[in-house]
Amino acid sequence: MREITLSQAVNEAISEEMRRDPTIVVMGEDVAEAGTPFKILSGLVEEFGSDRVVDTPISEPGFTGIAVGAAMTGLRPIVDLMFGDFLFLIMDQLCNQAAKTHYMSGGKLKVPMVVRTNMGATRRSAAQHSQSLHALVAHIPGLKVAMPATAYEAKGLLKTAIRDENPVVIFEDKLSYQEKAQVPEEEYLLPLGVASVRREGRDVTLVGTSSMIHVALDAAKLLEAEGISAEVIDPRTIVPLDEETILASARKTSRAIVIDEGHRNYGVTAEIAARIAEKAFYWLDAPVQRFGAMDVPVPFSPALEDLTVPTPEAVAEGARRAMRGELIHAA
Amino acid sequence: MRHEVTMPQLGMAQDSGKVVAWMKSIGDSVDADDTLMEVETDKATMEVPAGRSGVLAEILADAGSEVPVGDLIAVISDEIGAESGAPKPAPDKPAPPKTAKFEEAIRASKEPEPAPENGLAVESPRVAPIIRKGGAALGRVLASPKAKRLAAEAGIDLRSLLRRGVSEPLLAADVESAAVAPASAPSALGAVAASDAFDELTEFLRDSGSGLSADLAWASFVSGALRATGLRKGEIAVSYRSVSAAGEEFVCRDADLAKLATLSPEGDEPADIYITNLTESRFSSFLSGQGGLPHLVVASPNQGFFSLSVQFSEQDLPLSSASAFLEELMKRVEHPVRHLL
Repeated sequence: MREITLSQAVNEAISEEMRRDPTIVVMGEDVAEAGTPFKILSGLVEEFGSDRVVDTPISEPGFTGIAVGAAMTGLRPIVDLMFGDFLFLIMDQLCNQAAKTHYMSGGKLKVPMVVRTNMGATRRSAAQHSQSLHALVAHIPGLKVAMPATAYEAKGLLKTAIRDENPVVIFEDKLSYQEKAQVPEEEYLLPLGVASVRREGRDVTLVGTSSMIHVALDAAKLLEAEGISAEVIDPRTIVPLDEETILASARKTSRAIVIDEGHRNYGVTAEIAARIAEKAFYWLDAPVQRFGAMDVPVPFSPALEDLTVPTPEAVAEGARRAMRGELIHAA
Repeated sequence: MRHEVTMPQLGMAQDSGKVVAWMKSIGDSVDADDTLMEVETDKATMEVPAGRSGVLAEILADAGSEVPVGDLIAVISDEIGAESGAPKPAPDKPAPPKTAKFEEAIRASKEPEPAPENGLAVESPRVAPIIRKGGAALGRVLASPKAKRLAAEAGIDLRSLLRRGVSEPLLAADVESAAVAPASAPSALGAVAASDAFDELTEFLRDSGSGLSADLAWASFVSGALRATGLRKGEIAVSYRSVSAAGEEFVCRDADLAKLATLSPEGDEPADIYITNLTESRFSSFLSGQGGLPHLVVASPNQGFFSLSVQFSEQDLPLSSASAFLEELMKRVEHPVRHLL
């Protein structure tokens, strides 16, 4: 099968959908002429024209608000939010308007829009351009949240999100844009709320979101050399969350570790760990562990920044301690 | 079944109600439509039906008391005495002491205990007797949730694992290995064999200057008896120890297939059979609580005789097999030359 980058996969998903449905428009800063700073949308404006691929002023609340209104009145906008950190600017448009309009209008209005944005640290972009803020929107009922880990997920989930009748926020990992993966030539969709078991195992379940799936897979390799068999699960979307797959795995292995690049405090790892603890409690042989970004502003110093994110070594050590029953001292 | 009766919301803005009177007493049968009590709000006084048939088991709010909406005020149970297990007051006896205690507990659980002056948070002693169960004060066994579930399913007392020396926290694997271990004490079968021929062999080995000892002869004979009865096939490992000044201890494999002169004691546990030899000591019996099974104890309580005792788990080794093994062993001990040739 051919291999393409995550960036190409996103471009393909949007182009294919725009060809299929003339109501789909793209809007955001530098999306048309520049094709975004990551060159993801290159070629779109040439094919679909500047009416459907719209460069906006530097005003996230403005263009997101326009998109919400456009979605209510018949278009299917894809909003490009240049950095996930700018979510703070569009909280009202996204969380108070887009998320609640369908409910508050008694189902008379719908908001079929997609917010594409990104996440992930270790790109030396400092504290205001390195955050992973998906937990903020995952907390709001009415928003779906997808976290593609590879080009394959990026394309399949984005196409599904575009066709969804509700607002969907997609977080792409900045460092993964140039990562290649096998992507079929023929069209495919990936359903929201269906996890992918990336590796089967017997002793410990590693749940990793977005690029943390690679941390989990690398940790699994380290553990394999020591005879510890790890099962690795990518939830793909955190809202809806494929709880069944995660719980079934935790029950099977009786140990679970959750890895996510958002801050550890009050984050996605806490939510998933809590569900495992609530619903698989009597199958657990060790406490559920969480690995997330350190609870500090992301440092600009490369040496320090690298210390703030989960590593395969740390995850593997967590798994070993769980196997040895050492976590009794974790508190 | 226990059904809780709470202070009903009788008006939109009502946040509490006053129990004017109870129409039923503890122990009375009630029908769902029966009036259970009269409640007064700031607007009106209303009769409140029980809502559920059964027996009025507990009254938790005295007549005259003001109770927040939603708070527990009574319990209706399907049967008398089916609840808490504590004896219920007879219907004709007044219940005030109990009611008072519950009220106190409810109040105590709602009002945060003021922090002591040293700033340390402590549990309210007033609430403690109700929240805590007596056994909890004795300390808990630290075990994983899975270990606890497996232990409950297999009927294993986790404390028994601690007594066996398994360290905390107890994990699923600890419980699983406990589940396969024999739950009961081992069985034991004993016999007496003439020792004169074997003693001669021992003397001969000692005087031959070969460095060989009776220890290897025992290992060889036991191994041979085990093989002859067909209890073990393939390689047979024997773990041997002698209670003596020399304190011989070894594991050897297929001791019966090699000549004594070429036998080299080596190998690791676990073994197929364990031997404890007391013949060089003044002891006559030994029962191991820890060691593996089957376990043969050899002693020499009287001149001219060995006492042979095999301890075994009847789950693993039926009595008929254990006795066949002892027969075979006695033949070898009483006629060692036959075995060696």
